Amino acid sequence: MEKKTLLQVVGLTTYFFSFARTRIVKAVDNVSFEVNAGDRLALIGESGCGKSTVAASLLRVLPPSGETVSGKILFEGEDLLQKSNKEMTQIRGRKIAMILQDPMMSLDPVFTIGEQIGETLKQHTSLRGDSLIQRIKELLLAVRIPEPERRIKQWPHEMSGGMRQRIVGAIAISCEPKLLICDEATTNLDVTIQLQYLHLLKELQKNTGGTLIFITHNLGIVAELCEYVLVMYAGKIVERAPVMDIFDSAAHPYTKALLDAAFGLQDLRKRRPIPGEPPNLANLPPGCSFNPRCVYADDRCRKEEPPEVTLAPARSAKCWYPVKA
Amino acid sequence: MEKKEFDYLLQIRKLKMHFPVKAGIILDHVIGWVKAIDGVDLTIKHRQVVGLVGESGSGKTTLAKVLLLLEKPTNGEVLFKGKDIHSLDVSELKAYRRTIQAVFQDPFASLSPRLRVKEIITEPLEVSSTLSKEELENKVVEAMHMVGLDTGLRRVYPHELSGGQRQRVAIARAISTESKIIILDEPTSALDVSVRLQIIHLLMDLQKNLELSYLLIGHDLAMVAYMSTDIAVMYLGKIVEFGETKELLKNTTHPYTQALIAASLPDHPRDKRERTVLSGEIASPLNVPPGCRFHPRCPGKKSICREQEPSLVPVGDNHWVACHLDGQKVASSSI
Repeated sequence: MEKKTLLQVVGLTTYFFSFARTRIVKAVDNVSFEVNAGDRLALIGESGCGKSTVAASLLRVLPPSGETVSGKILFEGEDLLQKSNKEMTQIRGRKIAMILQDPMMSLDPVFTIGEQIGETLKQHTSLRGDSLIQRIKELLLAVRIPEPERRIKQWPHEMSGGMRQRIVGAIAISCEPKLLICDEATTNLDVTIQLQYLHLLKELQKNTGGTLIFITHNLGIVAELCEYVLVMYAGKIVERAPVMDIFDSAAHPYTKALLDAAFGLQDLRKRRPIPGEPPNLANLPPGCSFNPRCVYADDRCRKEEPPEVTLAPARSAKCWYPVKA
Repeated sequence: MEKKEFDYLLQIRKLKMHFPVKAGIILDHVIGWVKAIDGVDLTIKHRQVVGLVGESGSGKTTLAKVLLLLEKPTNGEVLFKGKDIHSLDVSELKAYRRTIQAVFQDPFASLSPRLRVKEIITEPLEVSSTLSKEELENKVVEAMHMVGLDTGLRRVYPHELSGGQRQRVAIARAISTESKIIILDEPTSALDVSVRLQIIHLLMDLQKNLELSYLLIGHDLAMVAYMSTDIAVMYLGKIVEFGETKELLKNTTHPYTQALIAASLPDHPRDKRERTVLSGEIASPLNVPPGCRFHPRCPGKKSICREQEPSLVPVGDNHWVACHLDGQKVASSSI
């Protein structure tokens, strides 16, 4: 069955400028990708590689110093970058929702749980009064929070971290968005709670037929949950592949290095660290951005930027010497 | 002077740390106790790396604070060369503080922004010894070499360093006093994936070369297992399972440890074993369940678990468990 493309990002370029525009941080540089409706996509990379900036660009919630300088974000065929602010307000929360890392930051401490879930519903639906309360209770049950009658009147500080993150989840799914972006959504949770939450997200996504984009640096989450993977390094996508191919035969040296550096309980053998540190986005090395840390790098990598090479359908790597399977 | 050799560095005995919960503004009174640590026995030997795992709220960090003399325990003792660390005299205290050092999670918070790198590294030395300026300088250079920092960085301030470099400074500070035990409280959680492993390997090399002992606190079982010789699993202020890393992973006995392993994420997407979700969340240490404190979440609980608290009993070589279920595999049968 042919899947429908939900989101098509073409040549997205987002820069951050210093005050007098003397310095430019190329956070996202010419990034293109597609997401089909109902997919679970992973966007992985280290902090500072631009993965969160991709999410902020999609929702157009960049901080004042950031600016999307070129590109297209086609969501259901319409370019989000051409929308007015008012139109974007109708899209955020209703069609595209986001769950952030820290539930203590994304919940307002001076409003009750019920008020915060209700806020999104009031903005986007005509539910009011009893039917609104009813819907909030349904949502609380959907994210497995028992006793919704009592919880609805509680404040964020009365809940544990896992519960707060589930409240954020309830807000995010309240209008059944087509696209749900989870930006490191489980990083602050304990292992047992993390697994509960991941299963919950997967179930909610299956029930509503929505699409998930998971932004993470945790390869375990990718293996558990995602179907397709984009690897980002220094503002660019360096590899894209189905999840099995990433783990079985990663083509880009950076992806390989990430896998070699990850821990596993099944295998306690010595791991290999990636040498060096992530690059400074305001001052990238010439050629391939990964060359100072790459074990295969030669003169060509230090001078010329590699093109994106297609290795198979839906598989590519941005490298001069992609390690072929 | 103490001449006798002890076969342990630190021995924690029946340690309890209860914090009072007060109510009322003028006439405040205690309405309950938060039992952060509720009877912990643990021995740290020479060259041993003890991993301490458990969920947030299980008392791991409180235990570290007691060892660092930041909290005075309610009950129990911590023996260092045969004496309780909370009743040492001034010179013994100096020796103890030199022996035990700590590296914390967030190197952005644990280094003073007003001190230069070399001042950060020498501060514990200035307090605990009487070295001359040159000797201190030599110590700094030596410590920076050991942690792989360019000595040219000794005059810079922490904000000029990257996260990985800062954590190296924190480690240099911890080894500069020729310490024997270092408490590592989530030493790599704030670091990037690629830098994390560099720091872990550095810590493992230092442990071997300097014959250090570590108490490694973490919630990532895979990372802790990678570094530790032994693992202690903590739940609600008590150690529920203790064993050598390989033995504990092979013959996991306590249902909570089983659940922790079952809940850990796969190494590979093909690994589709049943990952059981433990129901509920950790209980509040204000209100510890009677009997076995894990029973409300335990899938294999029996009636005895509700009434009687199990104590740590040996189940194998260097392997102890506090559970009534005799090592039944329970986690895999739940849900």
